Amino acid sequence: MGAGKTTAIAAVSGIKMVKTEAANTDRALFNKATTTVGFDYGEVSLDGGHVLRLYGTPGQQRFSFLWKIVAKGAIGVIILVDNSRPDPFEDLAVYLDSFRQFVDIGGVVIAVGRTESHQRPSIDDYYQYLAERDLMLPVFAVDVRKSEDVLMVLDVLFNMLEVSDAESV
Amino acid sequence: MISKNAAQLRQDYGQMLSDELEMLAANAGILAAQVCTSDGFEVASTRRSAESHRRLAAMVSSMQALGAAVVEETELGSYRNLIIEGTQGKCIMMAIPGTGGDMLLTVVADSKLLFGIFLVLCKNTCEAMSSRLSPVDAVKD
Repeated sequence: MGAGKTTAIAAVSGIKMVKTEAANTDRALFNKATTTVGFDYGEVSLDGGHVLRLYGTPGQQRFSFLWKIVAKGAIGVIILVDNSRPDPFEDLAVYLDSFRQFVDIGGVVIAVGRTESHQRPSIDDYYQYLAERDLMLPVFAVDVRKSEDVLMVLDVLFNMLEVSDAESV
Repeated sequence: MISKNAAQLRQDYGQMLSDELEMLAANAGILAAQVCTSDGFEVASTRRSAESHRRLAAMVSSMQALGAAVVEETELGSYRNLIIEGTQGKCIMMAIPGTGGDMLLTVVADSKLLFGIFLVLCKNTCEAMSSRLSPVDAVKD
């Protein structure tokens, strides 16, 4: 919670975003007024008239039933990690396990937020962590308020999926 | 917006909410009932396992938020309730008046209980809960 998923989608969505927020009563976990409890929805227009649909799910484990629902129709996953959390790797592990089917096909990009204020772990530390798990996934430091950062991550995800498709032919 | 978390709500209103839920569940056809926060934490419950109620609270939170998004998109005013019907029964998720939509009543009933009666029972329970909230916590919906 609080990593910036809603902000990231808002930064690039070409339509008025659908937000499903509720009052956050778990201030001990993260001190913010509201939290996503359904999913956020936005759209990005692509060349050729195609539309990329973005779904942002709640991050808390109690909403893991939603992760499975959203994953059913997804082509790829961006895991947004909050570097200011006590143990970002522990958080990351939860999502890598939960979205294993996308990890296996190379359909995951890891975006790390709040690196300006929290420089550790570094991006290199993330790569080392992934290597220890025999994973090769791209990791980027992002500022989710900047549309160019979010679009760059989406672009990388697309390229990875294209490579994955080409390799499977 | 209610400023208390689930533990504080449980401490202040747990007994009152449990009493109201038990009274509701005493009606024929009611299978289970719970009150949760809009961000998915159970506050009081009856007639199912604690684990089931914890999971249900998170699901209700999501459903309620999606329902509210549909209400907004279709310009239907403010969210009031959501009804789900299965072959074996039905479930209603209601915002408790006076909580600004931050506390939700969920009730599960069998298929024999008539919809109208089910709805009235749940609304009456919501009203009873709302009337017993401290003025400090009651907010405009």
